[in-house]
Amino acid sequence: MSGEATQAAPAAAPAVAPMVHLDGVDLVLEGREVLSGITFALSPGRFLGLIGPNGAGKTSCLKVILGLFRPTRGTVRVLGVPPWELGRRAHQIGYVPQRYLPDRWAPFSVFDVVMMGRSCCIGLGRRPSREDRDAVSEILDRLGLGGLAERPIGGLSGGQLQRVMIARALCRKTHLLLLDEPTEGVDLPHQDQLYHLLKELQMERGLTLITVSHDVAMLSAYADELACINRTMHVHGHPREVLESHDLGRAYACEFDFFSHHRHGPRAGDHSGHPHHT
Amino acid sequence: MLAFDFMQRALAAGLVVSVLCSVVSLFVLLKRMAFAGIGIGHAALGGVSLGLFTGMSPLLSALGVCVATALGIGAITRHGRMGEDAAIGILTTTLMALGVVLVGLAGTYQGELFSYLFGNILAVSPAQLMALGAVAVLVLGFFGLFFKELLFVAFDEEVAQVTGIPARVLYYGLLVAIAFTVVAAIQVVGVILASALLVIPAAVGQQLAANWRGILLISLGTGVLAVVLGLFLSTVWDLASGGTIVLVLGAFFFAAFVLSPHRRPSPPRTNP
Repeated sequence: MSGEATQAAPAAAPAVAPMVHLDGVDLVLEGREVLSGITFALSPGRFLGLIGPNGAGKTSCLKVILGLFRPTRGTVRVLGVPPWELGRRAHQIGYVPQRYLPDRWAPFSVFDVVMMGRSCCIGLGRRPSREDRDAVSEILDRLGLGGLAERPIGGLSGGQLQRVMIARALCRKTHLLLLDEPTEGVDLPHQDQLYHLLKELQMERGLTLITVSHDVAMLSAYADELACINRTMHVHGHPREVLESHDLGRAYACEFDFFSHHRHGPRAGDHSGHPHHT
Repeated sequence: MLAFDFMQRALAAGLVVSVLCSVVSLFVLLKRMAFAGIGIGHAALGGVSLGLFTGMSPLLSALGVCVATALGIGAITRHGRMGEDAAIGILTTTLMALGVVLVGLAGTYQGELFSYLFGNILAVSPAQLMALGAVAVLVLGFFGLFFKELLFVAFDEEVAQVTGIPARVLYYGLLVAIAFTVVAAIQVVGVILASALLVIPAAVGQQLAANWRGILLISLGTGVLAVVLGLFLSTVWDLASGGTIVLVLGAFFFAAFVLSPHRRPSPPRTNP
């Protein structure tokens, strides 16, 4: 682990128990070391952007936090416990996987798919109650999907589909939302809209967000913290610090100056909820 | 026709199996497990032959082999660095080969084997009918208890797992439910055609309905109607009952395919 921003405490040092805490996490998959010594803590209500080159282990890191991969060494705690011991508290975690393309003929409406997100709250053998249906309608309306509720899931555009997946993750009392490249396959104006929506949801609900993305400029405009990994943690801190850090170039194995390149783009670290639109 | 006890039992067995298969069929369709259904069905040949060879109940040994095959498909797929299709291909052919070898070793029971291969619904005994009812209660109870969770797993297993749904357990549960259903279907249409009851009813529904609720209803209607009509036609024209039931199912599918509203040009995906 290296990097001056990492050595300094991230933008807001966790004064309360962290929502997510990784400590010296190694992950070996099929004999290949994917993550090595990853350490960071994320306080409740913060928005972390996880960046790094292709194959850096970003998605694997997300899956460690989700409990889908168990670290080979080190500890991972989500809501204070290892993710595989969350039990019923697992429904406090929302996950939007890398671009999900359902079959065109998948026989589910948008409403059906979002209701799936409440399966864990309804109880075995029970049908969704009026409260469940109202919760689904409410989140669909909030995400501007109210008019699409009865639309087949296979007939949506990429941007609509991502909003449906976010609605599915937020249709219950979600405290932590993890998104894996949510803007993949979404055009530029709708990428900006999507990040704007995530920022609003963070503010409204006190959500803790971790988003994996390749779009460093866009993410730095909305995230409170950036963490750049390439097998190890290269740099973690306020977006401006990360963009100015030489460790960023090392992580990407190039001398590219991200900060000056994006100086005229969205403002780094602007998390007012009303980012600068270009 | 229904004045005979054996005909009443045949109809009752057919109805129980058709309802069971039609519900399972929905999840076979949603989880793309048609090949698993066919594979488990064909593996039953090994189980039936083993039962006939050792003197065990052929249906009980078929159940054991089908459940083992189902769990094996799941385990090899999850841990064996290969796709589900390859796992099914390996297990199915191995167990069918076992059946062929056992048939060759003792050639005295070909007649009985024939009834398991092609089904003999008219020979269902009261005890077998009771056993079918028990299997139906067990399997339908599983689906009733975990219906919405299974829908989630069928649509997006990884996210279901993350939100606290025991997705892996339900996947194996689904495979075992398919194994039980295959053995139930063997009594109606036999080993060779059992998988037809697991695949065709929901496929008919898929041609005619856009939502899983419609698919389930049409699947139930198709399954029940095919069994009743197939049984009736096979009796009237003195045909093999299992084959006739599957032929009726096939005819339903092609009619649905021709009449499907989905085949008309649909509007393209909307813009954001």
